Amino acid sequence: MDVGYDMHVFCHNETILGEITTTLVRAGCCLLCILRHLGVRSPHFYCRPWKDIEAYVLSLLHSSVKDNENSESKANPFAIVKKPCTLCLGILQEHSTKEFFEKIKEQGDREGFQYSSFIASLTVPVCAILRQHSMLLFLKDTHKSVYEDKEDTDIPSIKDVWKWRNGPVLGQVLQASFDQKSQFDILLNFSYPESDRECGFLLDLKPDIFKKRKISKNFKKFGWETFTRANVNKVLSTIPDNVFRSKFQCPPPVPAKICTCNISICHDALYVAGRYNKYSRLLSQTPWVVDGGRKGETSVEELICAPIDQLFKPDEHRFSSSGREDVDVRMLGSGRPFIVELINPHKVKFSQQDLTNLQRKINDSTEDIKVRDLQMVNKEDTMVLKEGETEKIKSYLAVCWTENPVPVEKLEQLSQIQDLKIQQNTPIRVLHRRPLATRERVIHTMSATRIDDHHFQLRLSTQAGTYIKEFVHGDFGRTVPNMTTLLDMDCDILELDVESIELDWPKKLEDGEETIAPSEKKV
Amino acid sequence: MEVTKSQELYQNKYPSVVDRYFRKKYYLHENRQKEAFCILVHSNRICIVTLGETHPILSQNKTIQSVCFTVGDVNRLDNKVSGKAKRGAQTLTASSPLCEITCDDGEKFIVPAGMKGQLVEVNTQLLNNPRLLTLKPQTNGYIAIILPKLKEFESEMERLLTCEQYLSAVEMTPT
Ligand SMILES: [Zn+2]
Repeated sequence: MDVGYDMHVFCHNETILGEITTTLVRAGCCLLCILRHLGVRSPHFYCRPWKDIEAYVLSLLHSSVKDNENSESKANPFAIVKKPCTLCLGILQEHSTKEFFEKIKEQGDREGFQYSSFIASLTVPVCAILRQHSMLLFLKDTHKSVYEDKEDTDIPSIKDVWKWRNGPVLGQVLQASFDQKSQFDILLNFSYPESDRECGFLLDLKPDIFKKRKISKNFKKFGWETFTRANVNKVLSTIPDNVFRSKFQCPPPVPAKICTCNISICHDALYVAGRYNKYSRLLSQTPWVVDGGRKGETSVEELICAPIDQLFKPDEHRFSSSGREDVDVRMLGSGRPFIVELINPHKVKFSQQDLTNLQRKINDSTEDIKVRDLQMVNKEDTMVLKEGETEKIKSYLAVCWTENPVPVEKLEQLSQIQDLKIQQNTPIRVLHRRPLATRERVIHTMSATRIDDHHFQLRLSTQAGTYIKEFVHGDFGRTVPNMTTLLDMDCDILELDVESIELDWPKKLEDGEETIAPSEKKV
Repeated sequence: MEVTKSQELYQNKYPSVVDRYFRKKYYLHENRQKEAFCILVHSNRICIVTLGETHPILSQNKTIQSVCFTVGDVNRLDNKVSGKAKRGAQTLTASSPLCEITCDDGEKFIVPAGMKGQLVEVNTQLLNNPRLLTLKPQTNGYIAIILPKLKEFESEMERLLTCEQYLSAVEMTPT
C-alpha cells in the first residue's frame, strides 16, 4: 500500500519492520496495536479504512516472508483481526466498530440527550499497562536494535489511538463533532475480568504501596479498587526488568475474551440565573422539612425549578441564592439573585427567547413569586453570587410596634444615625444549626415613618448577613444596640420585606418584563 | 413615604417574641417547690432557662445584689462551645446549678438547669446588670441557653411541667 507521505515509524528498514510485524502478529496483537508498536503516531493514518491498514500490515508481513519462505508466518490476515488482542483486549477491535458506535448512539437517544458535539473518556483495564510493558520487554529481546531505547510512553496509548481512529467515525454516527472542549462526555469504562488477577503479583512485590490504599481515606471511595493506573505505573517504574519477566509472561498471555464496556453519557452542568421576587408571607425559600415531614405546600425553589427541570431534564438541580429570606418575609424591589445548577441536563440547546418563555411560564404559574432576567450563565459567573454574600448592602422595610407611644422626635433621631455598628450573637432561632458567635454588623442608614402612636415603618440599609428581626426586638438582649435600646422602649417587629439586594448580577435583560407587586393578599 | 398597609392590620397588642416562638415549661426545685423556673422551649429545640413567675425573687419583688456563675467548683463562664454541634459544651442534668443569685436581704438562691442538655451560653448581661432578672425576667433577664440532645428532647419535655400542671402545683404549695 502506498503510505503516501513520510510516515513516522521506529525503523525504516522494511525487512526489520516486517519481522517486528511478524512477532507482533504471533503474539496476538490487533492491527492497530501493531501500528502502535511500529511507532506510527499519525492520527490520519489511524483513520484510514480498515482495508488500507490491513493491506499495509500484510505488505510488511510479506516483506519479511520473502526472506524466509518456509516460515509459518504466512499469517492468515483474518487471524490478526479476529482473535482478542493481547494488548488492547478488544478496545481497538470490537469496540472500534460502527456496531459499537451505533450502540452508543442508541443509548444517547434512549436517554434523551441533545448534543451537537462530544468528547469521549476511556477507562482502560489496569492490566493493559502490564501487558503493554510485557510486550515492550519482549520486543527489546527480539528486536533489540529498534526497541532498546524505547519506553512504554513511546508507544502511542490505546486511549489516544482509539480517539484518533474513532473520534471522526463516531462523530458521523452521532451527527456531532468530536471536540475536546465539548460539554457532552461519553464515558467508556472498559473492564476485563482477569485484570485484578493479572495485577496480583504486584501486591506480593510491593505490599506497602497497595496496603496504604486500603487504609487510606480514599478506600471508601474506591472500594475494592486495589489497583489503579497511578499505583501500578508507580510500582512498574521500580521493578527491574528481570524481576518483571519472572513474574509476568513475556509476551503477555493470550486473552480468552475481550473486555466489556460500560457506556455512560453525561453533559456538564449548566447554570441558569435570574432574580426573584416573593410576595407571600407563607412561602419558604427552599422546601421546608421538619422531622422528615414537609411544611408548606411549595417553595420558591420548587416554583422556579419545576419548569426549568421540565425543559432541561437534568438528573438533579441545585438552587442557590444571594442570601435568603424567612418564610414570612417578602422579597420586593428588583429581587434576589439566584442560580440553578443543572446536573447532567439532557436537553441543552436553548436560545434567550426560550429562557424568556420559560420565565413567563414560571411567572404564569403563581402569584407568589416573580422571576426576571432569567438567563444562562457560565460556571465562572456563579462565583459572583458567593462573593456577593458578605459584601453587599441589603435594604429592608419593617413594620415595628412599641408598647408605649413613641414620640415623633425619637423616630426622627433615627435618621441621624449612620453606619451604626452592632454586635449580634447568633440568633436563638438559628442557634440549633449555626455555631455560637458574636458578629459585628453595620446598619448603614435608618429612617422611620410614624404610622400611629404605637406603629412605625422602619427603612434600613444594612451589611449583608445582618439579622433584621433580631436587630428590632433585640433577641433577649443578644443583639446590641437594638431598636429597644435606641428608642428606650420595648419594640417588636410585625412585618418585614426585603427591598433590594445591591448586587448587580445577573445582567439586566433589555426586554425583561416589568414586574409589579400584586396587592398583598396574604398577611 | 407611602404606607401601604391596611389600617385594620394594626392593633394595640400583639403576641410577644416569647409568645410567638416559644412554649413554656416549668421546673420546680426538688425541695423548695416555691422556687419555680420557667423554661422557654423554641420550636427549634433551643431551651432558655428563666425565673418562674412564682419564684420568691419575683413574687416577693426582691432586689438582686449579684449573680455569680461559679457554683461549687464549676464556673459556667468557662463554658466554650464550637461548631454547629456545640462541641465542648458543659453537660447539664436537671439539678446542675447554673448560678447563684444573692439578694439585698442576704438571701441566696441557686438556679438549677432544670433539664438535661448541653450548656450553650449563660447570660453575662446579668453580671453588670442583675436587675434584668426582675425587670425583664422572661427576655433580657434569662439565665442560660441549653440545647437538649435530640434523642433526649421528648423525654425531657415529658418530665417538665406544663403550664396547667405548674399552676396547680403552685396552688397546692403552702405559702
Ligand atoms: Zn489491540
